[in-house]
Amino acid sequence: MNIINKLKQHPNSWTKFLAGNGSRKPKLFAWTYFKHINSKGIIFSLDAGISFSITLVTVLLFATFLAQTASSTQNEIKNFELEEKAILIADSLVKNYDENNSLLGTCILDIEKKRIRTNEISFSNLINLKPISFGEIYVESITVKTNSFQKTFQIEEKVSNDCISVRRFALIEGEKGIIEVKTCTLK
Amino acid sequence: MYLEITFFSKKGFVFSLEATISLILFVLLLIALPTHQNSSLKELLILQQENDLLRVWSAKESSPQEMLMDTKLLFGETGELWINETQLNKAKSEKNSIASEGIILDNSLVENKIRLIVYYN
Repeated sequence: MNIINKLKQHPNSWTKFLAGNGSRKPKLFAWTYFKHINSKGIIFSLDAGISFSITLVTVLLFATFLAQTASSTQNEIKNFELEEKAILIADSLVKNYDENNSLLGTCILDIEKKRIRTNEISFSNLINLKPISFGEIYVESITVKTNSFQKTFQIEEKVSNDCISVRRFALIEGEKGIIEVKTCTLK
Repeated sequence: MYLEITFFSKKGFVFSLEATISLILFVLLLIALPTHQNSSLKELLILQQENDLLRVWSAKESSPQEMLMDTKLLFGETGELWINETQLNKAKSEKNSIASEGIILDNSLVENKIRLIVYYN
């Protein structure tokens, strides 16, 4: 007895169902059973459904991750800009001399040698501090701190919680000290 | 049916086309995920601050104790000072470090090799 006949004898056999229970003419042909394929619509198998669901969840996770990354990158760029400007102003303050705005340079000018004495700050130069801003970024204050004195020069009085301080070491009126530049952003 | 059962009883597994496409898409999405790069100007600032100390010490003669105090004032416990290959203090070690070196002449024109090491995360 071949395998088909064995299967036909099984009470729940589908071959029995298709072949017509051993009769010569089958009761139901395969084309009748699968005729709905020709009808309009789609066939959706279980594995295709699972696959589609997994793909959708993956895309959702990816989109969420991208949104979070975009948000954190935006904050990072903002902080980077603030840090960049703070470092730039602090460096200019201790390395340059500017008679119009001391915020851009408060170093001592050596007229005899025709050069700027970097990291040597004159206290008298600090009186000519004028506000400076780069878009939303501005310098709020400058604090000069040595062993004998400490003074804060308020440049702008705006309300901002997003500030950064940069400390530089210099000779202030011949005394070693720290000059601290506080830079803020309104964003 | 028997043939199908025989087929599944073989070692290995069957991977449908949809599952393969899903897996490829998943792997591609994982590869395409942007990697986080923390951008900061901390290194530049530390380098500038180290340069400040060397510049001030060259302008105003300082004893090793004064230099050590200045280093601690600016960098706290993360700054390490070496004078003529002698370590004056032991800093709190961190993941990264930046070192600056300079030669400063004292009043009697004796060379002093100063090395500053700053540790940071």
